[in-house]
Amino acid sequence: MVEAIVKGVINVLNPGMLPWIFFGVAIGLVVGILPGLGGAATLAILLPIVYGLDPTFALTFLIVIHAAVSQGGVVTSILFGVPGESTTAATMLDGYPMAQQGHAGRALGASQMASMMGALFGGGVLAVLIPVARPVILAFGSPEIFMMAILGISFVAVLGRGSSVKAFIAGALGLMAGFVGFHSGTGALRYTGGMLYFWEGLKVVPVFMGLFAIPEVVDLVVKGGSIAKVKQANIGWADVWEGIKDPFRHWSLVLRCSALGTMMGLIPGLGGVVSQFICYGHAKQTSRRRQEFGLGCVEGVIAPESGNNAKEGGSLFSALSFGLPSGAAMVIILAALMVLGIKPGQEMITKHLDLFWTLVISLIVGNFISSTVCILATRALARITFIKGTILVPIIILLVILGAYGVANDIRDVFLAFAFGGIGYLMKIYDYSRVTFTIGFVLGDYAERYFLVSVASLGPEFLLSSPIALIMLILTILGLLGRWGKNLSSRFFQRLISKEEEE
Amino acid sequence: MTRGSLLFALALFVVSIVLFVSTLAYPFKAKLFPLIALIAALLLLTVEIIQELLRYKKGVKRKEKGERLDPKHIVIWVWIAATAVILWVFGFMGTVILLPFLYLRFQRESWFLSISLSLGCGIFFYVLFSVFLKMPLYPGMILPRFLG
Repeated sequence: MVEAIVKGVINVLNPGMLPWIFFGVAIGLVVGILPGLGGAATLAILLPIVYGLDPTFALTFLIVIHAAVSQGGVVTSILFGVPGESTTAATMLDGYPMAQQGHAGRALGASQMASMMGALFGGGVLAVLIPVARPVILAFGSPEIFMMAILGISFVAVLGRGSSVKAFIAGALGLMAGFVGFHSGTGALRYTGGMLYFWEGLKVVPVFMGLFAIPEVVDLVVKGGSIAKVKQANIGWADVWEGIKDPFRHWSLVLRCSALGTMMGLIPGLGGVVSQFICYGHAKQTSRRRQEFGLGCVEGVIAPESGNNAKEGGSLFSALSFGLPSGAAMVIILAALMVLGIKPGQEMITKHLDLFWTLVISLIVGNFISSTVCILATRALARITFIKGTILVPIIILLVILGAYGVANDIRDVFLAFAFGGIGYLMKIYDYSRVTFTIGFVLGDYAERYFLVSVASLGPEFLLSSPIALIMLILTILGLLGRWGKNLSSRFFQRLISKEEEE
Repeated sequence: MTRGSLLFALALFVVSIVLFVSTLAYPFKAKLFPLIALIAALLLLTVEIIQELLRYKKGVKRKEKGERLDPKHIVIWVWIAATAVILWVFGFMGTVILLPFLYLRFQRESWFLSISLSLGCGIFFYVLFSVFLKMPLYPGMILPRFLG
């Protein structure tokens, strides 16, 4: 295997390959920064280019684009509060408030360094995993995925700020939003209002754009000034350097989220949208500075970024060695493999091990180069947050239109984003957590789908048949009880302190 | 005052009731999860409404972000609604050029900035989406009528 890894490194660092890598990084970053130009759509557009190329060059080119897209998406999420990619929405929750506090440089530095570390972790784990990956992947069936979704939903208890009743209401209504559309189990059309448009359900990107970006536009207009609310610009290298150091300060969080991300990447069916929120929830649940999450806590930037990039290693592994894609981008990469005459599956780790490692290393190198480019550009990018709001408002609205429209070239998605903008605005002013709504919206459908599949295949007692699912159930219950106990004890001590003060 | 919060909670309660009634008509497998979510939502909304009513009765004054409606709120929402209309009528490219120009002029920015930014946006989006990516951009209601 060491020989294959060395060959993979030589392939990627081949002078003929480097222009393709840099070209791929440039395309990926532009696509990521502009909302709506999805990574999968770009790979599909570029697929014809790879026909005539050498398989190693062609696949490396596509993988590097895929790696750079999410790095670019982070930039828009942090600077404008508009998720550049659906997989960078969780990063926005703390990244954008950091930009508002004048620490866009630190947020960008931390996110890029965390991404780089996550990608390295994901790649490293793959090297160790090859001999044992098959039983790990096969151990995850529908009961385990169902429990993973439930574990994610249980983070609603942690993720809401302010009133926990309102946070749970938002989570429950988010679940309802996730149930809109055609129900594959029964063929029923739920909450579509007789409109064909809603048959596919509510699309993630327009909903995210509306919920998060539009209320920020309103805020920008009402409060005036620039995105950064501080008078003095703090966009020196010192701020960026602080950000670069942050993932090292929180190395344990980076490791945990990278492990979570790699695990979720290995499991087909759990996309990047899910994994980033699970990592964010985990970070908040385990942090000592829980109250600062959502207000600009750097851990809230590091966790989803490290998880998201580590996930790519895991999903590349399942796609290449088992032909099981975890998302649309991996489907395109598998299609490219087949077009080039390479069959994904066991042959990849027996016959084509050098190509396998070339792709894994190109994923790491792609992440590394795009992170470096972003870090070098951070100071210039951070200046955007000090531009006058009146100039930025029409540009952000255009980004929302572009992001929503670009998902399916359907103008109704833009109107959906505007409608959710209104809902998001009301939720923001009346303190209903938009994060818990999002968690419910993303995970509700997963939980329902895998619950019904589990009941159909294993019967109502399906949880008892799976030790992993049982462990996850126990972890969920313990997490909820722990949170409840902490709340009770903190209330008790607060009352005690106030009584003492009164006396 | 908690009136806005109370009204919002009441509106959510009414929406949840409507959803609950429509859910009952679905087959068992299709209504199981929505019913769980809706029952939880309705119970919690009842708690929230009671809490809000108690606060309202006690006259507890709470600072709420949206309680005093700044006229700027209305202005930006009118702009967002107008953007939707511009998009529907003039299409994607029309909006890309018109929105920055009109908004910047409304904010009394200079003619130079208003024209250069809107043209810059127009050229950038046209070259990227229409020329390079060949993406079908929504033409709007007016353009197809002129072009037949």
